[in-house]
Amino acid sequence: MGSPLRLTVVGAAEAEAQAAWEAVMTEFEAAERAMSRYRPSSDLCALNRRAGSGEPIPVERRLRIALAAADRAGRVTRGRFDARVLADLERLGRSDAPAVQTSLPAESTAARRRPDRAGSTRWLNVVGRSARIALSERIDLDGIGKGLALRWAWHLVGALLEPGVGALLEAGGDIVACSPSPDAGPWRIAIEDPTVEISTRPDDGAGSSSTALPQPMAVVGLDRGAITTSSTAVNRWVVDGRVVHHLIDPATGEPGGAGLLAVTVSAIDPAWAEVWSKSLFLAGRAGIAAEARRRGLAAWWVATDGSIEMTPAARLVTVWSASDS
Amino acid sequence: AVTGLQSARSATLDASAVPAIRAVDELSSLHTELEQRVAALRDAYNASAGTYAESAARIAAYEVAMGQLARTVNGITGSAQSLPATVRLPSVPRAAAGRAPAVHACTTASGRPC
Repeated sequence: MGSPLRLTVVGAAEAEAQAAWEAVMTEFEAAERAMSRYRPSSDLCALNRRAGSGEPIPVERRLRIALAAADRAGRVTRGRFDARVLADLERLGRSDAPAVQTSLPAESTAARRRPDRAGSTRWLNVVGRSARIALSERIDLDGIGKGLALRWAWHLVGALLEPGVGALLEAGGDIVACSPSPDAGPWRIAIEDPTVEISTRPDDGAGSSSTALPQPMAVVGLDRGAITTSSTAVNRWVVDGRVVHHLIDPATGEPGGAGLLAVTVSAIDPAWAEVWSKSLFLAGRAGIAAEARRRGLAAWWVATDGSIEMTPAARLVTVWSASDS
Repeated sequence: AVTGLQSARSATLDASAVPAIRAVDELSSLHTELEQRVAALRDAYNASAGTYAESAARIAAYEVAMGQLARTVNGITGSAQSLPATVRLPSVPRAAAGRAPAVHACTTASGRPC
């Protein structure tokens, strides 16, 4: 979390847009206090410190919802989404400092499956109805936490804006929006090219309604819903001479997603878009097409050879694609 | 002596009649078998006649359905003739060649513009 935020409102009065922006800021601050792994005072850090002790503690509403969502995401994705990868990230030397920009990650080595993850036991222990929770292991809610914060903030934006007003809310590259855009149609969302080094991109924090930046991989027409990307473009570093990244396969404890650089998913809900972008990434290039189609997802993926592919549902909303140019 | 002679003659006559009696018996059993066969054939014929009658009824029903189908096809043909020669399909968004269009936002892992 700690992502840069941006809210764009179309067709609303200044005061209305300002109220929506303040609601977004307030909600994200509350979500940080509940779910951030980077704030020692957060509710999640307090819970993580007691993980494994069996001692349940009262948990704030947002964190309670996030824990339940993470637990459910693990079951729906059959274990591909697992909040318990924190220990693996730390074992691989993941730090909270900005990632070291290196060459693209090498193909994931074929790690052995961890038998202790098969049919894994519940990591979340809810005690009665008193909302006291204990964790068996420390967890990380970064991605799904950002998605949930977007969901909650978006609900507030919708309640504050008049019907027919268009809006786009962005949090660190995760986006939720509803039409109309400034051009009166769907919002045009670029999918970044993960092969372009971060250091070569301009650091335009203000954003703009048009861009002359490096070519994206695709442009999507987003009428209503969310779109998120999981990628190795940023969070990668070197361990013992090999480049690793943060998208850990819970089954092996090692970076997953063989053959892939990035996966983008569009869904009606930002939290589930985040869950699916991560889960599909871990399916690897060999399995992502079948898995995405089976789930009926609008998904785009960029392979290590720089090519982009997409599901039929994604093709329907793709306005432009590098593969067609 | 006469009696003895008559008895011998009767015995001889009886013995000579045995083949005939046997032949009559055989004929009788053959006749019975033949009757049974005829009865079986009669039953089979009756069954075939019934099946034939059912088939005839089905064929008659098919002919009625075919007549209805022919009327339907004629109706469709007539309607089809009133359709325009070309039909404009709804447009499907197609990925355009060339440079990417201007965008409003970018989905990234970094959060930076792309």
